[in-house]
Amino acid sequence: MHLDDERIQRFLDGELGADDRALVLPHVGECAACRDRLAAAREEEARLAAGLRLLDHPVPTAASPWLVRQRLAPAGGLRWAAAVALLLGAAGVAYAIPGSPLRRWIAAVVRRAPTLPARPVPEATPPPARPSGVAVAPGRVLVVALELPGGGSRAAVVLTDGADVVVEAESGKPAFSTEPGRLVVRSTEPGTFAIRIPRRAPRVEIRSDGRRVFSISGGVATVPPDSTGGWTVVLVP
Amino acid sequence: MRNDQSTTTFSEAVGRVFAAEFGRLFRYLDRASGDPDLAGDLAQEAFVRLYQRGSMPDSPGAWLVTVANNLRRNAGAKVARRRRLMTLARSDDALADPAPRPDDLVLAQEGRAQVRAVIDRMPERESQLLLLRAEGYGYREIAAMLELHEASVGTLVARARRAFLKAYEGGDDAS
Repeated sequence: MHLDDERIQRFLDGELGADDRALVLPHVGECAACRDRLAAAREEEARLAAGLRLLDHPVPTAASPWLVRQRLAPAGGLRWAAAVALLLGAAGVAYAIPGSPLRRWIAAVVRRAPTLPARPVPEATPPPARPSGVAVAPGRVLVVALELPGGGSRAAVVLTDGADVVVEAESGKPAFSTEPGRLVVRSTEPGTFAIRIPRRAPRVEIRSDGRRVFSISGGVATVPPDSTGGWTVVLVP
Repeated sequence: MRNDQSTTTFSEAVGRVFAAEFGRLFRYLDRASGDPDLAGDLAQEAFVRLYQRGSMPDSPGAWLVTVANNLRRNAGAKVARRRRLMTLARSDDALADPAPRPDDLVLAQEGRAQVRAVIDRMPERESQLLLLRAEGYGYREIAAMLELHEASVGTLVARARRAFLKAYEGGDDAS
């Protein structure tokens, strides 16, 4: 009896259960026909993957939870703005009606109003800082070197299925520069960073002020992940 | 109402899910729709829904894909009106490799158009099956997302792959 499509595909995708694995592995070793079918399926998979890759565009590195929160934030504000705009619109209509009591009321208020000293104009609130980040291919070894001042900088490190190492600052305005095998992040202020590392990256090291604070090879780090599957790395205590 | 600590914890959990899932969710939607801006919007919107949900689903990856697929069905009316946050700081230009040669560019464009045409002609469930599996979603997740029997996912994947290759490499116009 030969392997059917379901088992061959599950074998390729690592989806075989323990029982099936115990049947399939010895059979593949003995049966040339099934080995050939497996090899053909594997080769088809490679052609499919190559075709699908042609469709790809770069993953937007500007995307971040920060933007999602920003997108949530305006909802309440917009409702208030709409309410105020509606109120002002209604007041404008009422004012425009000939003989409107609103005109008389406003005229009376204006006459009563004392002349107030000019108040200083408050400085405009600067817009919230946009996150900045960079994505680089990990190559065989990638050193992410952070040059930061003291004072509580940390990084949330997670593994991804992506192709690039992504470093994103959740605060501050760091400068990024790259050279072969090295990504340098410089900032004049402490900050929090999100660092995404592809599971398949051969080796990635995070260094802070020249000191190695984290390293991972092929998805296996020198320290176990926390309960969420990621790591919180203290960069500068 | 959640207290500050649980809100922070949930927010951090969403941040981690974002880091782990955004890339493949975007790639899946990009490949499925052929529109990277729309894919970015849909992926962001799915995470907005996750925030609004206030609790983490059992399988966040599958949940996000299901939400994004539903959003995509309504995308024509809603998503186009939304502000496109993805364009705020797109870094393609800054990080791009050296410009490809014109010949390579033409070949890549032709290949892309060909694959696009094949994907668009395939039954939606078959193309979704291939695209989701290509992003590493497990059979159980895929079965839940596409309402399939988990036990037959492998067979359906093999069948869809052959249909894709036949149309793509054989220039099959009738699929």
